[in-house]
Amino acid sequence: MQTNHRWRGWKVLLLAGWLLGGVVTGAETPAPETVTAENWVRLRDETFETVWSTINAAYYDATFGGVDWVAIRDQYRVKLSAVTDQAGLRSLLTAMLAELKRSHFAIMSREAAVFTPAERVRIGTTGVRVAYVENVVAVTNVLPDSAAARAGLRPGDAIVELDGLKMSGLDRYLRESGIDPARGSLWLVQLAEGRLRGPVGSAISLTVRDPGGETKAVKLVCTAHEGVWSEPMGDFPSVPVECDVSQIEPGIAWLRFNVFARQAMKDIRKLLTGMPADGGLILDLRGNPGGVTVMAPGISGWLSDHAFSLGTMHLRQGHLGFEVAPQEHAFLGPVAVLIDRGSASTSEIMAAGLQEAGRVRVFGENSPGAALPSLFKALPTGDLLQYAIADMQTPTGKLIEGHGVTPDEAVSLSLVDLAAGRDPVIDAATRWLEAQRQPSKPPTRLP
Amino acid sequence: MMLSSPGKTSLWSCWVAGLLGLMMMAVRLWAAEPLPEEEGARLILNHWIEALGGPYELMDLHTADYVCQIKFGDDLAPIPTYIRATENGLYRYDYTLPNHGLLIQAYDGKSAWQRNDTLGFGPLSVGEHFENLAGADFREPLRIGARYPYRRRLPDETVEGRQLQVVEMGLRDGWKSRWYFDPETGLRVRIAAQVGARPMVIEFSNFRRVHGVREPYRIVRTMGASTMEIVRKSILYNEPSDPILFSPPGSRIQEHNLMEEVLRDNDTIMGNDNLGEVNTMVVKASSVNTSAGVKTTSTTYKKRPNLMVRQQETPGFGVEWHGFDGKVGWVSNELQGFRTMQGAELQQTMSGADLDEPLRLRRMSSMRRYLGEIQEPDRTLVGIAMATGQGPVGNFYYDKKTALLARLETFVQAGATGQLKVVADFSDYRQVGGIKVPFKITLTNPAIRIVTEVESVDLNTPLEDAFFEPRKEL
Repeated sequence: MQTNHRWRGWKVLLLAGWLLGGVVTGAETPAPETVTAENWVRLRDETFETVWSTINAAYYDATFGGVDWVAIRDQYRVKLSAVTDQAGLRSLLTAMLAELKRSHFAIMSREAAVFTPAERVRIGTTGVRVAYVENVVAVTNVLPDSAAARAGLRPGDAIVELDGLKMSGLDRYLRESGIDPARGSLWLVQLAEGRLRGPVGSAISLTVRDPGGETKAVKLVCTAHEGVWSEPMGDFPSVPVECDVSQIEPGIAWLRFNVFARQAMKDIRKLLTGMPADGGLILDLRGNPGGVTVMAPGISGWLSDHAFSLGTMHLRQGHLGFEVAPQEHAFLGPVAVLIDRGSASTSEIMAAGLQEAGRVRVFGENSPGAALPSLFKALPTGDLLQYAIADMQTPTGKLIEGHGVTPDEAVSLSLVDLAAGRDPVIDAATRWLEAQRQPSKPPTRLP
Repeated sequence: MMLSSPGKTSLWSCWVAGLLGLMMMAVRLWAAEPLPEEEGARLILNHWIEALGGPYELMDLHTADYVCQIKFGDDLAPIPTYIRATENGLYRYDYTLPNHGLLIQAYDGKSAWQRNDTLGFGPLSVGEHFENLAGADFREPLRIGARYPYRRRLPDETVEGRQLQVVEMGLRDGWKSRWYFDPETGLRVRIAAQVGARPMVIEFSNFRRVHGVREPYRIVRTMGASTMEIVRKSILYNEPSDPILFSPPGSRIQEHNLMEEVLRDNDTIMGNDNLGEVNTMVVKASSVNTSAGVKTTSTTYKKRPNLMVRQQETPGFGVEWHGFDGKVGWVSNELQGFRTMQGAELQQTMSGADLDEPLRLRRMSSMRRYLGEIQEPDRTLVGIAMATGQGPVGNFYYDKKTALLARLETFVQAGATGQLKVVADFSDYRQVGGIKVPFKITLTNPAIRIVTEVESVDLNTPLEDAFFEPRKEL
């Protein structure tokens, strides 16, 4: 017999949709108690307990993947009395979270988070984008008229040193520590991005080496982000939102957005609903760390004329499906999705789901396998805890976490290509799209 | 196996019973001057009874035991079912449910009841009882005269290549069905009728002779898009039957009465009798997801008979509309566009759109299990697990002192395919018009905790039906 749904939602029905939304969002401006010498010990201990118990209650796997979470608490609690400041507490908690060996567990400084327009000065820009290329963190784009452009940075420059941190040393340390190379490269890219988006007015010292082997040291001063910002969602802070659309060649559009945020949706929808029926689309998710997860099925709905699933997130007590609902005026032509080692979380969920549905062809490099749906929670000290509440499975049952998405066509960037202004991943995708658009070869039909 | 004794007493009673049966039929079939089509029907029906084995063989049946498998659709495993029935209408169905084990549905001549160790105990609905009664009525052919005062032959029809005789049978209340007979064998092979808005067809096949009576071993009922197939594995007649098999267990009756009392008290305190006077309801609320600090505001509009629209605004997510317009359940938001609901999500929305939901809950969730009392610092809760034959609905905990629902443990449908186990705590009940409404609801899942506070409840605000139409444009 089928399970009975008829009355299950009695009185709580109206909250069900909320629940789904809640899972994929997060956010309320925290009003933390100011940390003082008098309340430090209490706030420190409460924060430790909040972090441990929140994860203890919400971790999606009741067995904690074999980790003895109670023993971990005891192991770290004895070190707590020696912690005398917030930085020390962050380090201790970060180390405790690392014991879970999963993505989406982190402590974020409240001072680095943006919840109000006035706080936007905390995240500036140097006008440079980076990616992990040929085992180094390298410059992939330099925005015109930016601090990076004025300092003479060019695509293909490898970052050798960042504010005194030797990148090669960090890379070696991660490998020697047994960190998965895909995760390690993601971490390095995110570290570099974080430094390159320092507070407005702050200076960043950078040493780069161009593909010819020439090194140079530059100093970049962060300027204000003049573009759109996402709205804070509860304890999930606001971030700058970029959405770029261009035409690679007639009929072939390129779409890139830096994060899955509502503010990008209008432009995305406008592009997809306005695509010519015989066109082709490149959806560039390289370097996209994720965001609002329900946007993945949402965008996919404008790429389909039938319903299908992108995957299922499994919580400790329940599951939520990412079902794609076909939308009017959807673009049904061929779609190439680009991924790299910086395509994490929602980017991976979307790429994997569309790939398994046979809707897209994926180009690029393996994604890092960091795809656990998570929430943000304000801690007593004011810092923010990011914690995963679910595991993510593709429709065929593959786990994305720890495995990532394997492209249909592996294509890597090289430093020389970048320096020459070439993007072999976009080139490969364009060639495929053109072939799909030939009259003798009808576009890939949805299964 | 006990066969009927060929002794004098048995024969005599058989004669008397048979005669009574024939008289009953005779009265019904020939009471008035028959029209030609009535006479045609009589001949076909008499032929059917003879084809089954004749009235005497039928009158000699006192009990029946059917071992069956019942299959609901191709996707579900067949349910082993054992049916016992007596000539005076007692029955007992033992279903072995895949998820919940043995489900007994029985009638002891006084009450029709059902019991399952997981789902609980409770009365059968009138509909369920009559369906069971009909399904176990092995003497049905002898009762048609009384049951169907209206009978007339219709023109023959060809069904799947076979020419069949057709008789229209009418109940006293006017409901009619068409019975189809194989002219060669005389056996009834098909019934067709309209049940509400849905067409129903029952097909009988694979006839075998048991104890002198021919029985269909395969029965397929199609109702709209759903199909139920009964495959009889064996049939035994006139086995001894212990009356206690049909009787509800005494301890369950006591618990059931106790639970009924709690639910009646809850109905009274909630003012459920006054629900009929509520034509529309508008609820404004705000919620906080304390697991992530997200605040949401919502307004829910409901109108009889089952119209509903909810507008909800969440930071980072935008505005979402969610509704049921009496036919279609739909969701519309900026990030995911528009979609219609299906299946469990639609059912949940429809039940949420029903202003009479609290009343229907008791009627539909007829199976209950007493969960005992829970002592909390400031109150005692009485727990009742409610279920339908299809599965559990939830565990309901009532405040023993106030009879108000304090807690509900259940599952909610989240999105098109998601399902989450939740505990809902209800508090701050306030009187609105003639009914009581909880102004605070806390919903807890290990991963998420949502606290909803109702800001206002307005009853009988005029709302046009058009207001509930799907919103495709955002």
